[in-house]
Amino acid sequence: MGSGVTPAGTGPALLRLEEVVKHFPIRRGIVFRREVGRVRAVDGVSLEVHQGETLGLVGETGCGKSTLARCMTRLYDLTSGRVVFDGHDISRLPQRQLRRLRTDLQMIFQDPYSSLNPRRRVGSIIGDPLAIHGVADGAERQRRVQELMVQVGLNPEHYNRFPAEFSGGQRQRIGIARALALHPRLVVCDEPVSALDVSIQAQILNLLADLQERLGLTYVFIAHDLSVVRHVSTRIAVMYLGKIVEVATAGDLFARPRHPYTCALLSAIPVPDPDLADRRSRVLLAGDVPSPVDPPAGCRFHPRCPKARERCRLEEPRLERRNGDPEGHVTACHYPVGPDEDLARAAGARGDGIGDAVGTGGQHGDR
Amino acid sequence: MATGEPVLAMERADLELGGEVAARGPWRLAWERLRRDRAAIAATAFIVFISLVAIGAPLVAHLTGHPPDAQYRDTGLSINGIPVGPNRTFLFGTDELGRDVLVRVAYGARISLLVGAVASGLAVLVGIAVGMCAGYFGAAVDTLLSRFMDVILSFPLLLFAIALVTVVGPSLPLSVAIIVFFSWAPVGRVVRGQVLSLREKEFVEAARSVGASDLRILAVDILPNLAAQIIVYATLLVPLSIVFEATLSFLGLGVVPPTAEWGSMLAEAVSYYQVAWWYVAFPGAALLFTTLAFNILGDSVRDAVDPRGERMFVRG
Amino acid sequence: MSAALLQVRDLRVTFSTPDGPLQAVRGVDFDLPAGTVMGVVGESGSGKSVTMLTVLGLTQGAQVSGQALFEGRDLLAMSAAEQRKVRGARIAMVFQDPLSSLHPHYRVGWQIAEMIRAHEPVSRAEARRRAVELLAMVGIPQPQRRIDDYPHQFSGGMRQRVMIAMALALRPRLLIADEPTTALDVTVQSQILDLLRRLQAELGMAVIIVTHDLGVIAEMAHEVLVMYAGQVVERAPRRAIYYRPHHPYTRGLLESLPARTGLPGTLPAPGRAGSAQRQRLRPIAGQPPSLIRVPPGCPFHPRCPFVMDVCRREPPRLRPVDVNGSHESACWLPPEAVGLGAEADARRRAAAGSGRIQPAEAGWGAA
Repeated sequence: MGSGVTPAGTGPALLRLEEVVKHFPIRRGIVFRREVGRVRAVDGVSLEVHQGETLGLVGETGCGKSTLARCMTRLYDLTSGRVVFDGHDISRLPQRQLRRLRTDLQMIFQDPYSSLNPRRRVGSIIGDPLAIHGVADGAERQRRVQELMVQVGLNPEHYNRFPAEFSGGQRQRIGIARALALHPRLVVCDEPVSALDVSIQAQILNLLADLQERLGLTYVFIAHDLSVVRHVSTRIAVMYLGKIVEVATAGDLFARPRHPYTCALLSAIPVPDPDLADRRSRVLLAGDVPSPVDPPAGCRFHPRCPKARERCRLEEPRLERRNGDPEGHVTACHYPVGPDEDLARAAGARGDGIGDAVGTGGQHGDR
Repeated sequence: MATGEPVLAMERADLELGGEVAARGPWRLAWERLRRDRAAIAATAFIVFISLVAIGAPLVAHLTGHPPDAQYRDTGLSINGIPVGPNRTFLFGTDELGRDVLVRVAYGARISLLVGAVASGLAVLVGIAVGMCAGYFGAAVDTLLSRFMDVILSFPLLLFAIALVTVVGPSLPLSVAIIVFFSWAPVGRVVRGQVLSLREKEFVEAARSVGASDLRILAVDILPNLAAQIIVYATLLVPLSIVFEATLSFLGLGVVPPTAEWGSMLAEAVSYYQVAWWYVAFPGAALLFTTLAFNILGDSVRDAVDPRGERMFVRG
Repeated sequence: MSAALLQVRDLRVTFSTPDGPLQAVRGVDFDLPAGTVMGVVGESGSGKSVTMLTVLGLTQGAQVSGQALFEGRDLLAMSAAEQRKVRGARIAMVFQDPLSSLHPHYRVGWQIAEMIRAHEPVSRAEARRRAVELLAMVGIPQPQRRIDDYPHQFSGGMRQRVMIAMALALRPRLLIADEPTTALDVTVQSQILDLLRRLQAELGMAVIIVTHDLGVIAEMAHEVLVMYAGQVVERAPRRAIYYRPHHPYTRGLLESLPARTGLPGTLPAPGRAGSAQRQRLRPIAGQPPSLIRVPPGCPFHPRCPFVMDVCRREPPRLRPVDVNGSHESACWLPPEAVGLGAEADARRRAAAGSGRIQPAEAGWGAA
């Protein structure tokens, strides 16, 4: 469990995950519902989140990042593993004690259109945490809610409006206000800007940065847009099919990615710069992201990896520091990408990337 | 961390700059849609009218001078004992016992509307309670309650009604009970389905992440989202209950004679239709139009509250 | 210089809503030369999708005026039957969500074959053979087997390939792709974009890509149209848009992208130690305007940091900002006011001169 070692200069671990596993059983049958398979959404993740930092969590569909977020905030029960928040093991806490935890550990959701109850007024939505935890009542609650609204850039006079009367960006602000109502210490942001227009995204990202500075928050920031994650994160963890494949500081990850998947991901981000786009060599992966129901054996990435060899099919690599990397940069790969290696050529040599796979009959779960 | 300054003055300005056309909540929007619906207005007008008639039935009796149960054998029946047609004394004619059909229709409205409202209201309440529990708590609770609803739905309506009435004796409360018994299960099923999907919504997850208990989520988050469907269902259940009640009375299982009731009037009128068309026509028309009005209103409410197919354009 | 394949002149589309007429498209003009790729960039409410749908005759219940000359014939003046003949055979469209544009109940091969047979008198066997060929062309492995699968049996990326195959079945001269990769993972997105580029070159088609993603446009387009509030606000070749934008909206959009940090003229990239001092992005203030109550004058003026008095009164038309007319901008600022960065902004401010108002200026200072 020695992964995610503390990089220099950051605080103690506020949140620690140890081999967290979350499987969803697939049941069939009418009367007796037998389990015929499991969706291995999160399959052994160990991470640390340090006080005051922003940990970015990236990955594509099926990597399990949203599930991991909900395991962190204990919206889901864990199949196995431990979650330790501020020194307390919260992995098996019953709901009643978890409720008290909510004041410290909050979440911001992705879809501003469905994360707010359309039939409730905005003031009531934001004031919900205050009401539930008995923090404030009546006029005092209203005052606090309006304060929060101002803090996130909303007009406090719109206290009695319904969510439908706000734009997407404003709704996301409402969600942020709700998350901040109880002055949490850690906020898990699940794709908070993915559903917003570009020009609004920047406003919200700035807001989140300001709030972090002013309120001393720690963020776990989940996104699939790497350029956004790069902008906000101190450290970034890359997930693939339920496991972490690389963790590094934002600068390191972009300057010297080691895992082939990270390389492919980085090279795939569309860059709004034509010259760069023309010059860039793409690492094209074979096939589509496989399903987490039946992950490949050995290294999960091997069917699509341009560098995969025999060992990758048999043995799952450990998440640890590789030669030449700074403290805190860990990779789960047997043959990490070197500084001068051109992965694009390796991928290109295998054909246009479609229909070719190293080793076993290729598209795992790609149907 | 008590007070926060505005994050950015320019972001406060958000709200004044464009984007907002009209700020209206979902209920207000529904109300406006309803207001514009001509059919709904006509239907509501009729319902108001018939309700006034029901409330003012004694007034009708007073104005015509004919109490509902009074039998006018000399003025109301012909020499051969046939009911008299509509004339200046009896605006809707008389029935086989010489009673004023107009007044009886007015009194019958009371029963129909009362039963309609009460039965449908109770059925909806029971249906919501059961449906919410089944949908939200899932697993064993859901299985149990759903099977229970299935059992209710497979009960033979008529046999059950006849059996009960035979044992207990016909009465208005019994009629209401029977109607509620058979009406709540479909409501429960629908509510369960709604709750099942609501349960997965992100705002429920958000409520849980803020620390809300199940009870609070049910009351504060789920119930208001059901309200729309409930109103629609309740409005549509009223005509069903009215017809159900009329059917029971038609079969002699409902109210006890001589109570004036549209269904039992129709039961008697059937034998006289060849000689006394008014005896079938007026109670029949009253039943038909009342049911129709509620159906139309229910449809309009559904369209107002949950308009689909109105998306004419693509965002972009 | 090839004649324009598609010429749109003063296209206007208005929808009636209970709140009044909604002007989704307010006078769009552009020319598309054959065989080139045009990128149309805009956020939600810009009218980009409605423009394309209208050209194809797919908007119901709207008042449409203007012309769309395709190969010399006005699409908007054609009867429904004639439009149907053009759709699919000469102009094809690919949508964002292939799950809702492919019929879920029919096999994929059948759908493609039916489309071919609807336009050309070929036998079933011949149509099927061509369908297999098409699937192979878009890179679907084992096409003879996959041709009998249903849409839901394909993954997201594969489905989009099927959509493209169907679109290309009749060798159209123009392909319109509306957010073709927005719903896909980034690694799959780069595969699809690569495919589109390859096919475009091989088949010599013209392509219009409609998207909000400036990164996608940088990779794919030869020419770019920027749309805002139902109008084209800037039109330029690719490099000009990204390096020498004129319109303040384009500039604002580019500057608010986190992906641009580290590129010339923009914010510096996060340092090696991570983003310890998190730089704030420079978002565009406010929100897009209502299309029912459009502000007078330039639609962008409430949000423009360089607004002048004339901007509030008179809507600017597209005027050239370079010598050969390939770069046009609908802005009252003079042609010299192009570019990104502090220097360019200073030029803009100087050019705007005394026509500026104070509050917007102050707002930008606070950023």
